[in-house]
Amino acid sequence: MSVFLAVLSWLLVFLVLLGAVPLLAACYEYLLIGVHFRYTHYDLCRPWFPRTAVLIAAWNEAAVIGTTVDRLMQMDYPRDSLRVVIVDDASTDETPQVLAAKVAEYPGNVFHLRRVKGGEGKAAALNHGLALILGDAWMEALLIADADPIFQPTALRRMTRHLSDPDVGAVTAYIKEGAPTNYLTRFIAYEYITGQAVARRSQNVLGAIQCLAGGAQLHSRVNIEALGGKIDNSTLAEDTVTTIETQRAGRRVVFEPHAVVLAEEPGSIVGLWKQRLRWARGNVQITLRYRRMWFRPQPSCGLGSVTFGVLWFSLLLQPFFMIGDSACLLALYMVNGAVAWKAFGILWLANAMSFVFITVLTLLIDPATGRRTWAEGFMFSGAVNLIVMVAAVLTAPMYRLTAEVLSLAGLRVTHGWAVGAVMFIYAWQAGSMALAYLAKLIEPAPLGGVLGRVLLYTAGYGPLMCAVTLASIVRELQGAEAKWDKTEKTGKVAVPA
Amino acid sequence: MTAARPRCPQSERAYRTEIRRELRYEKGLAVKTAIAIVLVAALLLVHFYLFR
Repeated sequence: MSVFLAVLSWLLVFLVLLGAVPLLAACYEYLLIGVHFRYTHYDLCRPWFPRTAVLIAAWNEAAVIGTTVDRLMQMDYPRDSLRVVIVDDASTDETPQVLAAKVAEYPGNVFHLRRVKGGEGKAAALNHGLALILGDAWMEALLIADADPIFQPTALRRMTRHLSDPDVGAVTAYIKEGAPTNYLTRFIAYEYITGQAVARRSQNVLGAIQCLAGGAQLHSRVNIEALGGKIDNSTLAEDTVTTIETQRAGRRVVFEPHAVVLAEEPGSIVGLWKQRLRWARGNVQITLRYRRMWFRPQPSCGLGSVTFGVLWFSLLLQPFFMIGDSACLLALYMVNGAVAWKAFGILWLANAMSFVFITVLTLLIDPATGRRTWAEGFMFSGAVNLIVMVAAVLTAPMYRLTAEVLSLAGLRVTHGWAVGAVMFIYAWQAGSMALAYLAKLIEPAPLGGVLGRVLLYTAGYGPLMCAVTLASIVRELQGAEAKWDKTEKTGKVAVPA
Repeated sequence: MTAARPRCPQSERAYRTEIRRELRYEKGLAVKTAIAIVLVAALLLVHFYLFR
């Protein structure tokens, strides 16, 4: 029996420590930033201004589309090499009128295509415009953009220069949150440094880009024709399908970190949940669709490499790592409480070190955004996790501090209280996701805005994203209807002078 | 696509300056990565030698 318990203890310790894999994978991603200067692709670039068609699908975008068109036409790019084609997907607001005014303002540059019957999703609307654009030989490069992003003046020419290398099929820009006006958009702004500026740079190094940003992706004509001249609409992640198919065909995809595009993101937890659920379900569909690609290295592209696979699945399976951690720690506590405490200490010391490395580097990579979002960066994992990480590093002082606080409060720690506290903290990894989900549920209620905010700062933005991923996997397994939920845009992106 | 067309609005010199500036930024990220690594090492020292 004792041998069985010893083996069980070691197995549980192994499973607990396995929980550090996603954070260690993230640290590896961050380490690659240090060598990115060798993988910028600038040595194969030159000034290059192909005739570029900007394709935008718009449905009820009256609040934003006018500004977007204006900013596109003000870009530092030859006017005679730029056309903006907007597919109005049967909008019911003022979008047609706004577009008619823009067509008159920029004759020969702005084109308005009106679909009488809409609602078939973004890909269907894009394909409507794409068929027309490919119908003549004018277009040499295609920029697929959303209706709301604000392109910085140099963004397009910084992207097109990569197409001077015929091996490059597509280029993606650095999407930044353009209106960090409330706590949630500041969280998103911080997240975008990690998800865009960091992750995409590391993918440049690995030679495999995960996803061309839907709001700003540039394709060569050769690439878009090789993709069949249309955007895949069989999944909720048409951008990722396009990205993967481009690379599997042997054409390179490049992330250009200095081509900056500002986008408007949801300002409420409910809106964010809706948007991310769509993205996460798309990723689940992609995982299944390309199930024969993962962990099968190919010389033509890095998508099948072990490193890329570990990074992809670390994100996708992170909720299971968190639930597994909690479950294994609680089981280990039943088997051997002392070993459980030791394993917990090692895991959280690793978490704390990863957190410091990632947070400091994130704030340094994009200092302008970092100055506005540093508080959300430190609260990204939630207040409880932050306290546990501080305790993992400053163990002895935190013990003393806790004892003194309890003593001042006149409280005596009984065995029952100690057991309860330990079990709570072991279960917290899974519990934080549940609390983050509660923040989303409570937000629409009276005082829900304040309560939701308090819950989110307590649970953490990271656990909220994990809860979304878990929900997406559950909905996919249930075979729930996959419909296109548009994120509402209000035009609050701060337009740079 | 054919060779660069005369409509190009950016001079070769301006282009080179821009690329140099961007490469300098990317090389700066290597230094920032090193700073973050040193900070983590310092925290580990604090943990193991002072406050364990």
